[in-house]
Amino acid sequence: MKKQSLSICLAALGALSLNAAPLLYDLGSSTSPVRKNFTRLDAKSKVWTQKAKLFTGTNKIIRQSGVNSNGRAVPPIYFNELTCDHIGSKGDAELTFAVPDGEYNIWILTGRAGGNNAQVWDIKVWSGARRAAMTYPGPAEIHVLELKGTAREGKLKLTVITRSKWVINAIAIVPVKEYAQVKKNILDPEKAELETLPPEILKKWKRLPYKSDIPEPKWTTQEKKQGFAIFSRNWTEPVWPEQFPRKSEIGRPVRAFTSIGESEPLTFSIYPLKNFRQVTLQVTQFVNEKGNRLAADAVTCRYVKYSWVRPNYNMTGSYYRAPEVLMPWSDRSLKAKEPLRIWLSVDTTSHTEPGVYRSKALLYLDGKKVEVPLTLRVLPIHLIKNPNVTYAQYYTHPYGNAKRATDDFSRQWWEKKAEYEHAHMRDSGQEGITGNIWFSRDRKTGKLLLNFDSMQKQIDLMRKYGMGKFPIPCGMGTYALYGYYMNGRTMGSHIAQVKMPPKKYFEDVTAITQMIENEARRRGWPELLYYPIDEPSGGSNAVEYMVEVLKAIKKVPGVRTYVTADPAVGAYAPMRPYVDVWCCQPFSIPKAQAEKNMKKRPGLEYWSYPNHNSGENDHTLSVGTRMTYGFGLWQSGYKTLIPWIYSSYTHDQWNNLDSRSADFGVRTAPDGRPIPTPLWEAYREGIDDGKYIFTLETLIGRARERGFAKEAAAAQADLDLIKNNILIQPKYRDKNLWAADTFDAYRWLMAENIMKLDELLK
Amino acid sequence: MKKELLTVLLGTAACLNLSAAPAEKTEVLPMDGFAVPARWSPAESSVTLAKEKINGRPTVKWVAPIDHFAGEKKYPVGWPRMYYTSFNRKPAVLNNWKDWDFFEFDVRMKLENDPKNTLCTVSVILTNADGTPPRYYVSLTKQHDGKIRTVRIPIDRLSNPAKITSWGFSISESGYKHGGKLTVWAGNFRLTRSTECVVEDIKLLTPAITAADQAIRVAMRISGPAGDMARGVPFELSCARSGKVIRRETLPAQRGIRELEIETGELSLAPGNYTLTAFPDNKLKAKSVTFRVMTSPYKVKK
Repeated sequence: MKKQSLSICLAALGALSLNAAPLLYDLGSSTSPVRKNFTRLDAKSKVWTQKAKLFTGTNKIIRQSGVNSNGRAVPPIYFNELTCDHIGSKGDAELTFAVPDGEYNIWILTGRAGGNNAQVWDIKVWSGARRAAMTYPGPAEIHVLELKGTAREGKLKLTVITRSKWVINAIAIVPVKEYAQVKKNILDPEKAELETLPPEILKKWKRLPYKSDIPEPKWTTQEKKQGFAIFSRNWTEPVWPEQFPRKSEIGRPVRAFTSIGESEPLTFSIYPLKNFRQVTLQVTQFVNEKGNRLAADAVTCRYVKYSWVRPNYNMTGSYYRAPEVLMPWSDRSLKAKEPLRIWLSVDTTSHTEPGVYRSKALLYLDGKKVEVPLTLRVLPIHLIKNPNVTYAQYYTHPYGNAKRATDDFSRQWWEKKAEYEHAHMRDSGQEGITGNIWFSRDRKTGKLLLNFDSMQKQIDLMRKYGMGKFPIPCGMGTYALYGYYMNGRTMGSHIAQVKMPPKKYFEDVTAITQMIENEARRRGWPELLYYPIDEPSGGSNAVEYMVEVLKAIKKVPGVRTYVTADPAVGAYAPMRPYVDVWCCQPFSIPKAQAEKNMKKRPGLEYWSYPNHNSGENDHTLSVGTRMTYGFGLWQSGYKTLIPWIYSSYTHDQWNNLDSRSADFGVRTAPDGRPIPTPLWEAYREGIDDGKYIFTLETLIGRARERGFAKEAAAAQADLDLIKNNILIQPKYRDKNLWAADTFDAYRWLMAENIMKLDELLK
Repeated sequence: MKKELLTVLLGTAACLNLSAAPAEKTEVLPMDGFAVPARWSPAESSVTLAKEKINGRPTVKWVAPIDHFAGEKKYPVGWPRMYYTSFNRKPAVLNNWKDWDFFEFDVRMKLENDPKNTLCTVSVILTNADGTPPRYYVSLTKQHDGKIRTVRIPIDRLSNPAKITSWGFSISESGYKHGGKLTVWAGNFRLTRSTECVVEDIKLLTPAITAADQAIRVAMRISGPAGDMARGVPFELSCARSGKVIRRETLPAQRGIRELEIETGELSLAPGNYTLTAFPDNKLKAKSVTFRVMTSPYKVKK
């Protein structure tokens, strides 16, 4: 392999003089290191035949680990000779390459430019009538653009345009006939390095093996002949890249049932026994037995992307490949023995007629047509959401970057991203997000620095998307104010190093809380839950400080406090009288106790941030996530689920292995729209399970009131059966849970009862 | 090693006493080497040989005073802990556990000067050559205070039980009040395994399915010598109400926790309750679970 690669490299070098073979250019300054196999192309080159003002950006080549605040080695964003520098511009440019006439594949590397987090890069490259484009945010993302080009009269022209700024790190221009080999030997390894870690670093990490209990099925003659099998597994259970289908899953019908107005996943997978160059997918319109149709845009087609991931977001040194993100569908190739899961989300609306809707997924595997029948039964029921439970998200608001953006395109992109994400949260059953009001005092003058306008803008957006009633856990400037009163000291991680500040500090906290509360009431904001410190340590000094700061906040009449700590932990006992909303990861207080405590003290609430379900560590716990959000929450007595976090990017959202912590949660498409994950869909489906439970409970109550005692008791017995089969746990992950099909069996049991009672109560 | 093991097995009271019950034939390998204080490395805590033996076996006493201001400078609220890494010191303690079913020990805990603490947790951490440390949590609540309990760690949970490199106890001081004191007595350390193929535990992953579903799934923990596994585990599926047997079949078995799929699609099970029994012909070994079949959501009444 190495030898082959070398010969291509030599051929590429030879091409510079002959202009007859691959041209591989490393763009950047005239002095920076040049990547092996590539040749330098700087801003002075004659290749630039028309250009706006070009800039050359440089970054240091980084191959060593960094060190975090705890002294632990953490991976940096790695830069190599290709990514350490680039050429870019705010304007358009034209490049002309002298090459023999013919067809070429053009490969362009763009990104990892460093600089402002708020910058949104935008590049569109034209070659004649053919084009490739990408838009991406921030200093670290990096993408490959591929397009075809035709050289005429010895010239191949590329035009680059932008709506903000563009950068290019490398360009390869390869005759079509040679492209497959050059791609395999040079370009794909470059891309793989950028999506993971440099090879010499990756070698030191341990790849964790995936162990499957599923034996290889005995393939039928037909499956062997066609080279694939179609199988269907409940969406709650992941399809791993190294996993066989179960015998019972092959040929299993692809179907689901739904209530009116719900969205439901329909998934199936292809298990290829050989390589396929191209798979295309079309889905026909869903039509029911009466000829009613679901809207043409009711189906969203996605596939499950396998990502290289870490076992925990801040763990390094080991990695594995996991099904992680629901990417928008695009034609793709298939590698033998690596299943591809296709994930269709089918939306019904409040106007959808009940019935059995049928459709077909039309797959073309290297041109061979395969039909996969799809069925969606729409039940004649409308679900009711329990108003006493709430679903929300910790959220990094895009408005922060919109404010810091230096050009209109970037600013608008972040603002649009915020809109898309709010709509996505609303449509998935989320009802709120966290907020923050930063404050401090100027070190020299003592002047209070406090800004309400950013929060106002965020609340306006929440209201626009129906999230205006959620009590907002609102971060405060207690850290910064501490620095002011304690001569620049910090409280340390989780305030473990905190020393008791002077009385004046707490008086100021009270005064500022009062100011915020007055302003919040004047502006008609939803309730703010005052959230002075995130995850305080249980150390005595930290707890003593917490008691005082909570007391200071609660001196303002009518306000409630919010603390992220486990109320069951003894060390936090002194804080108990001053905490109104406890938010912790596990359902640590048993249901009966939680309900008793809340009844005894109005205003007291128990919330959970189930980060074990958010992708913070394992990206595949859909079954535990569905349990947490539906049946688990039902039997917890907790009021709100608010995981950290909607999206967590530390740099490049598509590279989980580099930088101090991994990326997880909902991702962002080039246009700013959200790209969900199976875990996100598990939130949604768990919320729907909760709606089935509450709807049935409501109807049982109504039936009792109307004198249908026997029917109500029968439905209650079924609900109790479900309740008694839950293995109640503080955290639902992947152990002691029902298999995926049982969730749907219980949902169906509830649906049947709902339909019976609905009929009875008509 | 083989000879030592045999002697230990023959000398084990538990093994002899329980020989009448086939499902409880257990081999026991005492691991008293873990009860030697000098072989432990404690930090922010101390370890001594306990005067009070647990169940008559050598016992170590680990004392963790809760101090939120001492310990490592950067983490005054730290993690009192002790680890056993002396597997190679003579006489060596077995660190290849792969042919055993469980690592067990008995434990008693006492928490002082922390009356409001309703739940505290001790982590038991095992590290093997793969470097992945599984953690087991032993909780102390008011009702457990002072009582002896057995910690039973399934060997199949370890990714490389053939080479255990260290194990030990750890607590997070943040979960305890400053000035408190936690004492843990641990003893009667042992490796255990069944002498024949038994289903230790069986759990239905599908306590309910619909008539449209094709299979039920069960999770089982199977113990016993590898040679015995070849014969498989016999199962019986019957109607819960009438007891009528619907199907009997022997399915392949493997030691450890295994998920098994049992196809039901071709049986066209009618809605109702069904019982699945492992070893149906051996009352002492039999283990049963019941599941419910619902109607099919896709069979629409006209």
